[in-house]
Amino acid sequence: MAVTFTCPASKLVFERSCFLHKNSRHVTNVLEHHFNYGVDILIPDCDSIPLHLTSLMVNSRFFLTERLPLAILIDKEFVEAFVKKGKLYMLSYGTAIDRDNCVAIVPPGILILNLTKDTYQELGLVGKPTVFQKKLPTKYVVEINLTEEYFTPGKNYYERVKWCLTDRLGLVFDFLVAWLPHEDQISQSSVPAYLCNKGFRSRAFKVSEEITFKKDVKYPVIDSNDFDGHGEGGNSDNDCPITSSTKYDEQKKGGTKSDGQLKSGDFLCSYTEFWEWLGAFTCGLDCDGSPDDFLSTFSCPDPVSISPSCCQCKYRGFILPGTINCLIESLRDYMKSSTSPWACVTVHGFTDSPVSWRRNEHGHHKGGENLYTFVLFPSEDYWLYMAVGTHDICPP
Amino acid sequence: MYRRIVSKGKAEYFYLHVTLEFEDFEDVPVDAIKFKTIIVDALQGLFGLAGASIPADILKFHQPKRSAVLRVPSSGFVKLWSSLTLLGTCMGRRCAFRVHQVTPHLMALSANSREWQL
Amino acid sequence: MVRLKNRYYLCEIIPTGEKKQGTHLVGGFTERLVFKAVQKEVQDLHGDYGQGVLMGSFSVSYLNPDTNMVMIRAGRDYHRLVGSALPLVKKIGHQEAFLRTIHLGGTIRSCQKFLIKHNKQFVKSATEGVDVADPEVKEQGNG
Repeated sequence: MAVTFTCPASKLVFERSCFLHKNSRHVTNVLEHHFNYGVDILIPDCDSIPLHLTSLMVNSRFFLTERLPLAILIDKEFVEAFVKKGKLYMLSYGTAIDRDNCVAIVPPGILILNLTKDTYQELGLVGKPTVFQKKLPTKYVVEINLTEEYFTPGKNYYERVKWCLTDRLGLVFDFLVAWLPHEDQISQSSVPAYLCNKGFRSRAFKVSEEITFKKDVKYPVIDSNDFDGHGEGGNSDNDCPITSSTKYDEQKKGGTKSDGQLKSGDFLCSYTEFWEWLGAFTCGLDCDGSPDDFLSTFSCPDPVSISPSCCQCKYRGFILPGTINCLIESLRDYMKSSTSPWACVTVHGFTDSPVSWRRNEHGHHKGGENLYTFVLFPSEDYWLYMAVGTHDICPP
Repeated sequence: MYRRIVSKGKAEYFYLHVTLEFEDFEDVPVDAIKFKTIIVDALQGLFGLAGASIPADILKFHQPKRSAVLRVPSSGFVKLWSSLTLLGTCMGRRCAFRVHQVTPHLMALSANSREWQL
Repeated sequence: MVRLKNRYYLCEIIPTGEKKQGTHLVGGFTERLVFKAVQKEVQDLHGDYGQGVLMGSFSVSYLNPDTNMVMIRAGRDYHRLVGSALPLVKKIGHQEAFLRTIHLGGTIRSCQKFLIKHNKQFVKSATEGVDVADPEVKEQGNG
């Protein structure tokens, strides 16, 4: 209508589950999100962050290879040495998904070309139009499985791809490279060493780190069972599908006894309010607005608790999903011994990655966010938020 | 025990990360209240009194850079963004709003991989 | 070809403030003055956007100076912008007046039909208990 305008759609998936449950999918959710740009950790009531948590992140390295032609990536030698063994993650750097060509390699050895219409038509490889623009697509996706048996020199398909990538269009990109070797003895830097032999320069980078401690932080009170903030404790489970065993329920009840100072009937912070507050805190906003303030009417959702010291860590770089999985595992161990009521790990995906989760196509429309947050509780329960923008397929 | 809730479509709020840039006068002093007035004026110019009533909150204001994080209900999001884009002058000086990031999830403003320089 | 659809607001101008002596209706309204007054309110309420989208279609297509009936045209997609601004009109020209919307129609013809019906009813209620033979009363009813 004339007076109102439609705003772009978005998706937020909230999951509550437990790490100990046999069907819990937290590991696959982490491992299937391939390209991670940043990790934000937030732990309330924490004076010092354990060293093994931070060293895990800081020790991970990645490489930037400049002006690498795509033909190198389908080279038999390269495929045998790195793509088929270990896990290779590559993402084109400095390309915007809504206007340029983007290229990525995700395990197990899938080369994904997200091409503009012009490039796609010149290139001559078969692909699919983007799923986000039904009429007149401007982007096309070509997927090549590098590990397929028929993808070998001498075969028709291989020769066709090679011809397209060398003779028709010499596509060249800057690549972020990270490789998880299949054996411990092999160094991560084998990939850049190999590329260096071929004449392509690589630079090594470390994940950047920023740790801050904040004093006297107001944070909302949440309960792992009471995610919609009705203050009914575990009773809100009655109308939801219960997939766990009863034995597991008992464990859970034992675990949440520590929140005993809350009377039943109190309204707690719901998962949406907490999500907004968490975003505000991570961005460094002050949450002291009153309802009739001129500047801002945003305030910390009730009820609040005050933490004497709050630990916040920011990591930025090209971070492997395996590293994040290890981080969450060690944070789980940490939670068992700590007094913190919860801890949060937020993982931001690359805005311009061609895939979000699995091989789901990702695009940029107004915003290209693809991120997830784990809220860990001492009882081994967790909340998982997965948020994506308009041009995204719903997370798994 | 296991529960999954999928929210699709219209989000309640939108968040914008914007910067106010001047053409020549780099050291124009703008404080948070002035900043909010500029935004309301921009809204009123393009959408009149109906536009000026859109509750745009300034969640964070960084004075030296004149950058801010704005929150707006999704019904007024398109109006706010378009008025910021079409604003050409304020306080008699030529200026422009640069919109860095736009998202319905506030958390996403914490990281911007597009402005990442290696 | 697609027809450009319009909506027509049929309004009655109700003058307020001091009445000039000797005239039974405070007049002097012209189509131009009404247009200016409504346009100003649209500008205030909906800004440059409202002004812009209405530019092609917005006009005052009919004004009866005797009965103070006025018909305002607006594009169908944006007619709500005009509709919301109409109650805010406080002054037409130098005369204090407001607009009472009595009908919203899709064509001029439907508005005309309504106006005839409306005026007939007005005549009927005005002449109730009055001798119909009175010539002055008869003349007033010409819509």
